[in-house]
Amino acid sequence: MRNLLVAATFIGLAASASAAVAEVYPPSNARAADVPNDGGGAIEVSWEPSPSREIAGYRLTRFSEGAPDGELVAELPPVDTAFTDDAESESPPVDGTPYSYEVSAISPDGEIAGAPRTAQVTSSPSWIHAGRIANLAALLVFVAMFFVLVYRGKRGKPLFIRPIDALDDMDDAVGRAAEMGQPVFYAPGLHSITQPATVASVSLLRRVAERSARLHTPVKVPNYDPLTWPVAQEVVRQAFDRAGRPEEFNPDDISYLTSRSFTYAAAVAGIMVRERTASNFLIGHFYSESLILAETGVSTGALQIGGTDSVAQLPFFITTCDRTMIGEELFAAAALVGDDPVSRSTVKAHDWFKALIMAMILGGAAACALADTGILESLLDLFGVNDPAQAAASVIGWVRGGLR
Amino acid sequence: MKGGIGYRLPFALMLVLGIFFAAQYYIPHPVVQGPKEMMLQWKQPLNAFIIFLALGGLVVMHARKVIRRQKRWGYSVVTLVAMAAMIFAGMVWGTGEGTVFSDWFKNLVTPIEATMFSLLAFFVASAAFRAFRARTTGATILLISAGVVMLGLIPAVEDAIPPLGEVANFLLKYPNTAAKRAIMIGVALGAISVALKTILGIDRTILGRDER
Repeated sequence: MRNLLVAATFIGLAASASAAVAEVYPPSNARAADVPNDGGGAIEVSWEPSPSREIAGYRLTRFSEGAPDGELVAELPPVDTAFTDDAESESPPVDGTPYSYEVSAISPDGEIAGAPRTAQVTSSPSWIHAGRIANLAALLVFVAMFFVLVYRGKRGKPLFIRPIDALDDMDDAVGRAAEMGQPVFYAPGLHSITQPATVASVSLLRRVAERSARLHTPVKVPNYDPLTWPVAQEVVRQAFDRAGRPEEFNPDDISYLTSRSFTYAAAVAGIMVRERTASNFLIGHFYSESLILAETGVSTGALQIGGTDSVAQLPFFITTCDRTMIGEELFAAAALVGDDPVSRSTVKAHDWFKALIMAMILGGAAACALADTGILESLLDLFGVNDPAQAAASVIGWVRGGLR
Repeated sequence: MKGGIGYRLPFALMLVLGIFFAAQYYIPHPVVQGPKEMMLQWKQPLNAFIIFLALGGLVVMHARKVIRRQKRWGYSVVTLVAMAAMIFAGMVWGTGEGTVFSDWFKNLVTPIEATMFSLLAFFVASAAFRAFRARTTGATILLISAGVVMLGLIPAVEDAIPPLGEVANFLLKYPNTAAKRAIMIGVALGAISVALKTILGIDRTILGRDER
């Protein structure tokens, strides 16, 4: 009997405790806002969590003229304090329709406590992505430099263009293969012809193929991407035509292999070993198979020229290739390969913009250093600027206004 | 004829679509994003067609090697038989989980690829051995900094010699990150330049044309 009483006491205590826990308070400070920089049809609702010790979750209800009694938008776990009502909702918000939201906390036993409704909000699409304005400004500056220099190039104004050593080495590498009577190997990377690195690589392939054709040397171009393959084949065919050796062009030398990277690496390694290619060109965008390709070339004793825009693969090429075009050098080499003054002048645009970026970095670093030492504040005081943050905001607003 | 519509149309399309796709990055409005999504969907059937084209080229090349009994034509037989078997298995029994196609893929293709991938470990060692020879001043600096970074990132060494860990982290955080960012800025400029040249028809590589 005594045991039964003890048990009943505990059950009673537990029940009262759970009743205390189940008491639920609503979340606070619920607010809704149109999601900025989007295509419309999205409203973000956020709130401060309910002060209740334990809740089962939140319920989000949306009110509009068409649904004055509210429609359930989502039931969310207790850790959530924000939700975006967008195209993934069962009935997404319609642009131009005013909505208000109610966020309710739900206790474990189903009791509901709703916060006051948010103010009405309307979703709308944006015409410009405000977060990308600085990017757009930089692009426009670069495009302006590009056009100025292309104009100068068209007018035949001489420009000093830094030499790219790898370009001369490419000719030497083809000459080596011709002297040894072995083929040249050219891998245009694993990206499609729609990517800039592959376009640059195929431009360089033209030069290698033309030089090879003049020296009666076959060029092996195994392709990873099915779209790059016909372009590479056409470029090599034209190079052989230009060299006056169309009969020496073998379409089977420019083949499509596979679109799986390690299968491609296995096939390419096989070609290098079987054909004993004398000079290997690994130019384009590569992934982790780059080291397999380059190390196989080292093991066969080939002279190798690498070039990639992939930062992660550059150390492998620098380690294993005799000459490497690092990042932008690949694009610059492709622009310089044709001796076309317009194309050459675009390399100058790279240099001008890099100089601008360097000046901005140095200026920013100097400003930070001055701010740390207090000199900047003194200078600003000198010009009557009391609040640097407000001054910076005014400048940004002025720039944005100008851009609009 | 170079001035004909057949010649000019690809350049006109590249110009219009190039500007459109550059602009869509800055304009989230559905007026622009809608057509963009539609055009991206057009890529799917085009890609399928391109794969067929490439596979056709592959089959023709290997079949030619076999018919003409060219050097190492046996490899071509293996390629053609393997390709035909996979296509047959996929078309007859499907490509889902537990099918013949899936079993062959898991038990043949995947291990072969894993073998190639695991070769990387040995190649990294041999490449590092070659790179870390102190032949020049630059190579010596590389050797020392690589040694510091490798040792400094081993927890036991970092605990035993704390300054080594700090130097390793400094090298990774500042000189290494700065160099990587510099390369990335250069790559971005080069890529924009290639894109502009292609859009404006200055560079016609993408069409396989050479009209110098």
